[in-house]
Amino acid sequence: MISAVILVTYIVLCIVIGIITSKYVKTLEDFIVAGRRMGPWIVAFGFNTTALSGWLYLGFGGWVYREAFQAAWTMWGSGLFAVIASYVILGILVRRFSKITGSLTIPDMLEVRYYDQRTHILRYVSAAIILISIVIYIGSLEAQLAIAFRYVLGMGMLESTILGTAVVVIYCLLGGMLAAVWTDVIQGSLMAAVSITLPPLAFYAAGGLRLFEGVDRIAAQDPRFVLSPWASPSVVLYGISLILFASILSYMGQPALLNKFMIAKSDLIVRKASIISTILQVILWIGVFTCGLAARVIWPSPEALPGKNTELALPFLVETYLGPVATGLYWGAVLAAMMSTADSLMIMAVSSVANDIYRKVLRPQATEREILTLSRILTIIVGVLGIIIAFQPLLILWSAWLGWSGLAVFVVPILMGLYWKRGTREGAIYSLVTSFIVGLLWFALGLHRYVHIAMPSLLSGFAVYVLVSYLTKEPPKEVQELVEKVKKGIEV
Amino acid sequence: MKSVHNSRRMKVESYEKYINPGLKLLLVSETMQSLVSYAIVVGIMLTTLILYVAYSMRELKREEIKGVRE
Repeated sequence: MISAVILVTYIVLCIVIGIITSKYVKTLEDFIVAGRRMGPWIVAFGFNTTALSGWLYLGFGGWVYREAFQAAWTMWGSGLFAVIASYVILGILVRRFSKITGSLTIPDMLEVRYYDQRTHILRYVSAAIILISIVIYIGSLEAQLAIAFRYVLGMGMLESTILGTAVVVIYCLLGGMLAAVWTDVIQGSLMAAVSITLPPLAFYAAGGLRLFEGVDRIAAQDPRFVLSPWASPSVVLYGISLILFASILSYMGQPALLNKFMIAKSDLIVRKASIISTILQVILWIGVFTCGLAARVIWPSPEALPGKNTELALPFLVETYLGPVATGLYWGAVLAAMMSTADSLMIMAVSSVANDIYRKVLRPQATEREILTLSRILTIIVGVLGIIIAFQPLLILWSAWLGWSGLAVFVVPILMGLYWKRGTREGAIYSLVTSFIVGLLWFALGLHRYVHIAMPSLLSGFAVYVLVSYLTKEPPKEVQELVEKVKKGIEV
Repeated sequence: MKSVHNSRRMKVESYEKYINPGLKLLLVSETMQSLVSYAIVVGIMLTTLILYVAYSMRELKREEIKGVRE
C-alpha cells in the first residue's frame, strides 16, 4: 500500500511539472531544445537518464544475478567509456555546429553539413529511420512500464501499459523538452539516491565480506561467474561488439542524446556536464552491479525469485530486506529510468515529423502555434503506436536493442561529417541506408545472438561512407570551411 | 646502529606477520578470487573516472582562462 502511494505521488509530480513548464513553451525551439538555455546539471541529468532505461535496474540487475562478472563488459562500455567518448568526441562539436547553423535536430544538422537543402533526401531518410526505430524502442519501454505498474499496483497488462504511456504522453504533450529535462532531474536524483543507499544495505544483507565467499561458491560450479574475457572466443567477440559498437559508437549516434548537447547554453556547460554525467553514471552502475551480486548470494537459485524471473532479483531484494517505503522508492527509480528515456525519444520522434518534414519541407509558412499543435497530436500518435508494439510478444524481447541499434546508424554521418571535411552527401545517404538495412537483416537472420547488431551495421556504414565519399565529387568549399570553423571553435 | 637493526627486524617481522599472509590470501586463496575480480571491475571504473575528472578540470581551467583573455 505504502509503495503504491509513493508511486502515485511520483506520477502526479511528473504531470504537475508538465503543467508548469507548458507555460514556458511558446515556440518549437522551446519544445524541441528547451530554448538552448540549460545549465550543466540539467544537461548531465538529461543525458544520463535518457541513456539509461529501466533495463539498468531490471535487465542489467538480472544479468549480474545470472552471470556476475561477465556483465562487466557492458558496465565498462555503456556505464563509462561510452559517456566519456560521447562528451569528448562529439559533445562540444555538436553544440557548436547546431548553434552556428541554427539546427534544432539531427536531420537539420545533416542537411546543412551535407548541402542537401535542395533535394531533402537526407532529411527524409533520417526522419524515417528515427521514426521507425523510436516507435520500436518506445514499444519496449512501454512494456517495461507495464511490468512496473503490474508488480506494484497489481493492475492488468493492458491497463498498466495504457497508464504508463498516458503519464509520459501527458507531460511531454504539455511541456515538451522543458518538461522532459526537468522531470529528468527529479528522475535522475531518485535513481542516484537508490543506487547510493541500496548497495551497502544489500552488502550487509548478504553477510558483509562473506558475500565474496558466496560468489566463489557459485563460481566453482558456474564458469560464467569468473572475470575472464578468455573464457571462450565468443565471449571476446561479443565483448568487443558490446563495448566498441553497441556501447561507445551507438551512444554517439543516438539523436536523443546528441540533442542534449544542443540544449546547453555554452561549450563550457557541456564540459562541466560531462564531469557530472560521468560521476553519476559510475554511481548508478556500480550500485546495481553490487546489488545483483548480493541477490545471487542470498538466493543462489532463481527458483526462490518471483516467477523464477531473474530480472525481478533486485526488486525482490528490496522488498524482502528493506520494507514497503524502500520498495516504493525503488520502483519509483525504475519507473523514472523508463519514463525519462521514453520522454526524450517521444520528443525526438515528434520533431522528426513536425520540424524536419512538416515545417522544413511541406509547409515552411506554418505558424509556431500550428506546429506546436501538430507536435502535440503526434505525441499522442507515437504513444499509441508504442502500445501496439508493446503487445507484440515476439518483438518485445529484442525491441530495445533493435530500436537502439537503428538509431545508432547516425554515428557514421555525424562523427565523420564533423571531423572529415571530405565526407559527401552521397556518402552520408548510402551509409545511413546500408547500416539500417544490414542491422535489420542481421536481426531477421537471428545472427544477433552471436555478434551484436551494431557491429555489422556500423562497420558496413563506415565502409560505405568512406568509399562513396571518395568516389563522388568533394563537398563545396563553404561546407569544408564550416567543418574547419566548427573544429577550431571560430565564431562561437 | 642498534636502532637500524631493530627497525629492519621489525620490518621483516611485520612482513611475515601481516603482508605475506595477506598477499597469499589475495593471490592464492580461492575464497578471495571474487573479491579480487570485484576490485578489478570497480577499480577500472573508479580509476577511469578519476583520470577523466582530472583531465576535464584542467581543460575547463584552460578554456576559462582563454575565455577571459578573449
